[in-house]
Amino acid sequence: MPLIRSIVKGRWGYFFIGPAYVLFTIFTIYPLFEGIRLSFYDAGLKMRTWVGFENYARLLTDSAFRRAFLNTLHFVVIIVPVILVLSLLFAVLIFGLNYVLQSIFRAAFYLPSVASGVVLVAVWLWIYNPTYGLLNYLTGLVGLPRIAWLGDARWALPALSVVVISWALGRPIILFIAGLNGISREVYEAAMIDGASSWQQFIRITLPLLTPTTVFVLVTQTIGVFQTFVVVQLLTRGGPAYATQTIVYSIYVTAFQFLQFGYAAAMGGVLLVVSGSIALFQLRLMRADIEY
Amino acid sequence: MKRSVIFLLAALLAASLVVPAMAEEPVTLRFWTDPRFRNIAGMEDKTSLPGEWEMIQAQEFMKLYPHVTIEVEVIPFEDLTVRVPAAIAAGGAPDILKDYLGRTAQYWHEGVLEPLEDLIPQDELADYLPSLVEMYTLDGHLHALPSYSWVGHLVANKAIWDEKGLGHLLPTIDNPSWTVEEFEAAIEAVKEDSLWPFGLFVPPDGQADYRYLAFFWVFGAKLYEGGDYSRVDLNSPEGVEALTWLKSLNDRELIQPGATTMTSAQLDTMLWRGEIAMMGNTAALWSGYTNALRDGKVTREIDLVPVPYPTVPGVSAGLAVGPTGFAIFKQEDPNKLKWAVEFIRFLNQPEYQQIYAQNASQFPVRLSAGNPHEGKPHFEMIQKMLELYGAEDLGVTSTYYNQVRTLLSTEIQAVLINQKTPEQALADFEREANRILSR
Repeated sequence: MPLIRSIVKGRWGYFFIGPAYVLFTIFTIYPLFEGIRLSFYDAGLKMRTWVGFENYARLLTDSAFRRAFLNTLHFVVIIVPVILVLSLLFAVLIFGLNYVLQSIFRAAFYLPSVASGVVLVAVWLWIYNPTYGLLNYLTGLVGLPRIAWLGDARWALPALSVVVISWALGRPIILFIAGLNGISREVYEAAMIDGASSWQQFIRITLPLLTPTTVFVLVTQTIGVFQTFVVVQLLTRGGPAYATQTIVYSIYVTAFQFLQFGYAAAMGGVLLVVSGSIALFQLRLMRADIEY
Repeated sequence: MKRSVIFLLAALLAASLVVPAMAEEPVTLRFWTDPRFRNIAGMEDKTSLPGEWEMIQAQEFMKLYPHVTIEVEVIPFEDLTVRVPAAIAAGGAPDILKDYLGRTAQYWHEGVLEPLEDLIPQDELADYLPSLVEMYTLDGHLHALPSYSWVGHLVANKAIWDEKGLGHLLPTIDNPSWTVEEFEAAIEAVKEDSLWPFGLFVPPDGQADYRYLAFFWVFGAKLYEGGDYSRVDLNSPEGVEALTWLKSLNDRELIQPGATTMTSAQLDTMLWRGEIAMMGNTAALWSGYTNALRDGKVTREIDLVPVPYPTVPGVSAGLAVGPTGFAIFKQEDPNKLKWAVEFIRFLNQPEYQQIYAQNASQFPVRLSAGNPHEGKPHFEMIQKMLELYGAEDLGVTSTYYNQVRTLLSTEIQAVLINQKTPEQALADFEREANRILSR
C-alpha cells in the first residue's frame, strides 16, 4: 500500500520519466537479457543449439580472447587514471580563466567528443603513418628513427591509448568545471583567512568536494574504456598479432565475421560481469552520493 | 451491328491487355549490392554515385515486368560484413545479394540461401566458365550465380625502374616469368631512402589474403591440399621457407614499414607518391589510378604494369581468382523466388557482363560476353599469366574461411614483428586452424 501511495503521489514524475524507461527497457534491458540467454547457445545466423556453459568454458582456453581481455584491462589501467588526472588539471586551469576563454577551451576540448570518429581516425592515421606521418616527421627532426606506431606491438597499444584519451577528455572536463562551479566561494575565502595555500585548498577543499563528480567520471570512463571499439576497428583492427585486440572488438569479429553469435554473446557476458563488478567496486570504494 | 462488332473487338482488346497483367501477382524484391560500379561509360552523368547504375538496371527490368518492384540498396564494402549477417539474424535479409564469394559461401553454409542449379536453364549455365560454376557449387548445389571476377597478381610502377634505366629487370608479356632471385634483384635495385620497393599488406582481419598467400604458393606450399578443407597444409618445409623469405624481405626493409596494420588505401597512396614500387593487387588498381589522378593524389610518374609472382624451380604456382556473384536468400513464396531468379539472370546478361568487366576492371564469367578487354595490354598480360599458371585455391568456400584466414594473417604478423619464428607461427597456425576445422 505505501508503494502504491508513493506512486500515486509522484504520478506526474513517473509520467515524465515513463517514456524514457520504456525505451530503456526495450532497447537496453531486453537486449541485455537476450544476450545473456544467447550466450548459452551455439548460435549461427539461423540455427541455435543449447550448449549450457560450453561457450564460457571455451573462453577459458581461447588464447585470443585472453589476450583481448588483458589488452582491455591494460587500456583501463592506462587510460582511466590519465583521463581523470588530465581532465581535472585542465578543468582547474580553465576554471580560472574569464568566461570567453572558458567557453573557447571547453568547446575545443569537447569537439572530439561530438566529431565523427571516422574523420578523427583519418587524422590520426595520417599522424601515425610510418612513412609520411606527422609524428615520424617530428621525431625525425630530432634524429629519432622511424617507427611503425600502429604496426609495432610495443607501440600500438600506447598509440591507441593516446587517441582514446584525446577523444575522451572533453566530457570529464565539462563535468569537472560544472563541479567546480558548484563549490561555494565562501569555503575558499574561509580557508584563505586561515592561511591555507593554493595547494592546500586544492587538496583539502576542491578534491573532497569534487568527489561525486570524480566518482561519476571514474565509473563512466571505466565502463567506456571497457567498451573501446571504434579506435581499434579503424586504426589497427586488433593487430599487430592481437596486440590491440579488445573484448568488444573480439565480440564484433566473432559475431559478424565468424558468425558465432552465441560465443560472442558469452564474451559480452564476461564483459558485463567484469566491467559491472569494477564499477560497483569503485562506487563502494569512493562511498559518495552521485548527484548527476 | 457494325457498332456492336467494334465495341466487342475493343472489349476483347482491352481484356487481352488487362488479363495477363492481372495474372501476374505484384512482387517486391529487395536487392542489396556492393558499391562496385560508377561512371559507366556513356552514362557518367547518371551513374556518378555507387548504386545509380544498379537502379537504372532495376528500372529496365521493371519496364519489362511492371508487376515487379525492385528496391535497390547499396551497402558500403565496410558494412557488408555487418549489415547482412545482422539482417539475416534479425529475419530481415534481402531477397537478392551481390557480394564476394567468400561471404556468399558463408551464408550458404549457414543454410540461408536458395540452391539455384534447377532454377537456371542448363543451356544458360553452359555459357558460364565451368571453373567458376564449379567454384560456386557447394555441397552439390549452385549456391549463387557468379557475375565477374578479379585475378590477383603483382603490379609494378615501371616508371621507377625506367628512370634508373632498369626496366629490363621486369618480366614482359613475351617472357612472363621470373625467378625469386630475379625478383629480389629487381626490387633491391630500386631501393632508396624513402622508397620501399615492395608494398605488403597483412591486415589482422585476413582481408586481401591473396596478396600474402601468393608467396606461399611461389614456394610450393598450399593452404589446403587437393580441395580438402578438413585440415590446413601450410605448415610444411615449403611453407616455412616462404615465410622465412617474406620475413627476410621485411628485415632488409624491402617491404614498407607497418605492413601489419597498414590499410589498402594507405598502400595505394604510397604507390601514387612513389614510395613503393610494386605490390600485389588486381586489375582494379588501374581504375584506382584513374580516380587517384582525378583526385590529385598522384605526385610522381606512374606506369603500371602487371607482373607475375616469381617462381622457384620445379614449382608451378597459380594466381588467385576472386569472383562476385548473386545470391538469393530463402524464399517462402515460389512466385517471389521465380522473379528473383529472373532478375539475377537479367543482371547477368552478356551485355551487362561486358559493362561490369570494363567498368570495374574485372573479368566476365560468361563465354558469350567475349573479351571486353581486347587490345588493353595490361589485361592481355593478366590473361596470359592466368593461361600460363592457372588458378590457386584460397579456400574461400570452406566453412571456416574467415576464421582460418584471420588466424593465418595474425601468425604472419607475429613473424613480421619478431614475436615468433616462421616455424613457431606455422605450427601454431596449423594446430589452431585444424582445431577450428574439426568442429
